[in-house]
Amino acid sequence: MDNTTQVVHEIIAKIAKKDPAHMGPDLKLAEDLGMKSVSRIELAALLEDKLGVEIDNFEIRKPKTIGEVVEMVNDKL
Amino acid sequence: MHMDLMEYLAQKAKKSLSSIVFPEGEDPIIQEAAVKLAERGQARPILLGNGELMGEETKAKNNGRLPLKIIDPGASPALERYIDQYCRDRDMPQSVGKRIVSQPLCFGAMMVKSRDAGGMVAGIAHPTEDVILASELMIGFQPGIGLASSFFVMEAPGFTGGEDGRIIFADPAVNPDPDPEQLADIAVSTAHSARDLLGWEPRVAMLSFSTRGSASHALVDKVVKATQLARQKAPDLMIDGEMQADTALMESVALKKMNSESQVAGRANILIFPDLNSANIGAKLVQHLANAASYGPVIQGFARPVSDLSRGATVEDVVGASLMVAARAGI
Repeated sequence: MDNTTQVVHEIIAKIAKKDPAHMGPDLKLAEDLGMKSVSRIELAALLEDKLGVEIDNFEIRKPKTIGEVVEMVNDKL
Repeated sequence: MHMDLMEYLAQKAKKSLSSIVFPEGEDPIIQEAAVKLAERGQARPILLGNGELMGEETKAKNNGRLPLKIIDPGASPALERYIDQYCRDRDMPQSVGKRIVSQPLCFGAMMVKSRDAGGMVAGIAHPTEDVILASELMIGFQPGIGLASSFFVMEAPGFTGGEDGRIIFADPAVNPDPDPEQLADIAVSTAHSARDLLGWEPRVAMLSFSTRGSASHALVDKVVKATQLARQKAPDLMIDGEMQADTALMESVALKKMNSESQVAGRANILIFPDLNSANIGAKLVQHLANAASYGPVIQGFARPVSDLSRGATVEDVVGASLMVAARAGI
């Protein structure tokens, strides 16, 4: 697992209050991890803080899975 | 003759003279509305934004006799306090707290949470979802309520039912397909709003195409379940269903169709539609076919009052939305 993927997993695990070791690309943010839409604001801020990517509150609503978040971050790095 | 709704709200707002925060304070329409509210003695507006970018007239009034404040979130001494509070509440690092709380919508919502403002009016430069998310994150919901929803107050000429000819429709703007739990929350939130905003004793009808089991379908089951849940959540409220709209509104029909006694049927003043399709379509039909005035959509469910604006809001729309907030804010 590359560093970006690991950091994304840690951030999502923190917000969803889950074990980072149990994160995987196909997990759905809402259905599988119970992340509410409001958590997306915090997800964007944490990604910006840890990885230096700017994602606005509109863009951050698009990804449905952890894999799609990693892809969005990689596109911006 | 009953008093015009806006006049009623204006009088209520004048009594409490609440402070209302406008996160989009650099917008000229917001500035004009804020000046009007201050001049009319209906609120103490707080405009968020860079003071240097504010209109000359607004700045002049800010330095003068009007109870109108301009706050630049980035330069505000309250920012650190809000960041600390947010980071404590949400277990977030300071750097993330700063990124989030510095956003005007979040800063405004934090002012409301901290009682530095009585309510918030926003949405002229942001989508509704952003206003709802910032409010949910910072202010949170009323006890027992798990979602934001909305309502319209409708006034149709010649209609004498409801509450002196007025009736509330929910939820016409926020939740596309609420499940029974969510529909129950919408019913309870709307009842609270009717009490707080208009001083009504709520009589809530849970609408369906079936009255008391006259039809059998999963869509009916949803409303039956929602009615049970809403009654459990708020046993003090008059909530009844499932029932058709004519049963809810007309006593003669209620007498025929309801098989048991109801405090709501035939005299409902709040109509809870089963989904966004029916609520939105219903409201638009009444507006245009019955030439009804509609006020809203008013956002509800938060622990403190918040109003959403449409992007095309006029000065008077902003004033109206602000009165809806001011009348509920109390501080």
